[in-house]
Amino acid sequence: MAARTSLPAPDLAAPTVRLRSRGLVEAGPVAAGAATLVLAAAVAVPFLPGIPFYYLQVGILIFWYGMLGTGWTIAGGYGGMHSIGHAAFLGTGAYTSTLLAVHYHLSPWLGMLAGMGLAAALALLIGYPCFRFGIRGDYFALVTVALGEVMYQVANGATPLTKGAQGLALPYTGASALDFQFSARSTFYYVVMAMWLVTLGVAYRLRRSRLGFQLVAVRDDEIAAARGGIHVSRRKLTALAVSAAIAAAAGTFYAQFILFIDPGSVFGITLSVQIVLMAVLGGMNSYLGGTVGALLLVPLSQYLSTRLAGHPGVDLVIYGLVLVALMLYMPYGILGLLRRAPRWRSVIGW
Amino acid sequence: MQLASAAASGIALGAIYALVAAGLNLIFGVVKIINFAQGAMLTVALYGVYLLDTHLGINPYLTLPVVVVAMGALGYVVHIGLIDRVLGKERASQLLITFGLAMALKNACLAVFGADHLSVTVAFGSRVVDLGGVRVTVASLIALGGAALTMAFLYGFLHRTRAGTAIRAVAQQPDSARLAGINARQMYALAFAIGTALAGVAAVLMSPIYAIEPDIGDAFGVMAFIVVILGGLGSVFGAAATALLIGVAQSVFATMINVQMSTAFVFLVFIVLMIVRPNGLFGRTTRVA
Repeated sequence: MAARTSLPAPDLAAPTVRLRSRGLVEAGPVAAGAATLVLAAAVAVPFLPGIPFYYLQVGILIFWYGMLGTGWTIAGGYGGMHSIGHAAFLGTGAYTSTLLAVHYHLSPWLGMLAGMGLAAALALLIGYPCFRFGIRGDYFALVTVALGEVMYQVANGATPLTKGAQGLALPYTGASALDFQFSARSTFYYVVMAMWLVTLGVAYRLRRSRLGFQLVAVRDDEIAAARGGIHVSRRKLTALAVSAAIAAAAGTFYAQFILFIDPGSVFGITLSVQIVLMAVLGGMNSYLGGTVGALLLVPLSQYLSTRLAGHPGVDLVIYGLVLVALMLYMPYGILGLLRRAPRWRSVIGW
Repeated sequence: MQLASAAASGIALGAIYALVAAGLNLIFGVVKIINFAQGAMLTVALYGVYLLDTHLGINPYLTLPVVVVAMGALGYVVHIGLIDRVLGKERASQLLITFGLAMALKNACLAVFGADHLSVTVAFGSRVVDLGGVRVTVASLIALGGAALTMAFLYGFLHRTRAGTAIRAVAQQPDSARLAGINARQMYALAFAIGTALAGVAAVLMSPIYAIEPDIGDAFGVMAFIVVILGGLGSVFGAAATALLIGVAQSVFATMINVQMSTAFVFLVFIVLMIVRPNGLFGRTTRVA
């Protein structure tokens, strides 16, 4: 297997890694204990007496964006497919489960599965011809921008189905867990936390699997990977479909949490950019990147948008400048700082 | 006749696309980066025209030299300060740095000027000329003529001057150009400055026709991408022809069907053509790997 003997990252200055690194286990008892403590604290947050709902909502957003960023990493970080149109998949998930629930009273849990399937199908539809004809790099990014725009315009224009810019409201059917609706808002916190954990687990396992190594090989040198016997386009398609399905699941969660969706909120290009930003700030080659990015950016953007409530645009100016500064001074993101340390490199799965 | 008039206004639209796209094409062709900020540059230039018009009372068309020089300087500074420092590094950082810049510029316009639609007017601009039954405004005709003139100048500059030849040399073979004594970094900066200045020209020509709002650059910027990709990299006339084609198609579509679906359709065509003919409608097909 040629992919296994190649370095998992492009920078040749980095020290050689053992072929079989042990991943998370190498973090050592101190780091593992700290991580467990942080997780336990996150679980305990809703039990704090008198915690304002606002803080809980920030927590929900952190997990939600963390999930999206991690999902993006599977395609963008592992596979080198820098999608700037992930909102297309997210919106597909949100609209699928919502439309099924409104028209056919289908449980959004099933709707979520349907949305994930549809989003994965959309990913295959767009990915197959792209990879078949060698559209990669910047060109692929452009295609995803256009895909996001197509979905946004279709959701706006297909008024009989989606009600266009007016948006769709989900009826509140009473708190029924089967309907993905909960009377206690803290339940949403745990639901999204579970979804984030599952995503993280998938990303971690995937990175250490055969598929993960093959993807990284494809990202670093597509031609060499093909020569090594890897079916390049098939591996890329798999990663893109998994990534799309995760985004779709997040879309269903958003619809159930807010109980209202419109094209701007689930198909907007700003959302696509934010997803990329989470992963890039945290370090897009690591499965933890999206989470680290969300931990920093969500509180920042929440703070900015309340602080600058009367000044539209200023928060996005800061977002843009953060992105520019990041690319200038820290192109590998925060976790990228650890990529040269052999032990941590294995832990963060760089 | 209604369709013919729609087509005529589409030609003006296409002329603007052609100018924005020419700038993008120059930057893409020479510096080899996708400049996501081109649309935002157009927005900035439009607000510049608006400021000069409302506060200093200068006729929008007469702001051309100021706007072009200012935009050229802005492009130069952006290149030296940002782009030059990520060239030759991660592909993703080059892509995302212009994206971040676009976000910052566009929302800075939103923060300063608000989301309201602003407009500049020229007294004779909205006068309608009847050309054998097809009715077009004077402003549209000026936009078309101005765009054609600018493209001719650009072509002349690139093919008949020393600096233009140097830019083309750097675009084709950066290393050989360096060996021949050309300062490649300087040429990159020059190309970026000219590309941005072209957005300034487009802004001046379109200002009397379109309402100015922070989002306006998005539509034109993305459409310029489509033009560059479909027209073929480095092909000035291919891009111009594609721009006119898209402008007319979009304008006619929007009058016949609704606007959103026509936009969605254009993007869909873009995706399909991008995949099928990555070298453009008029380009030669060569495939790497």
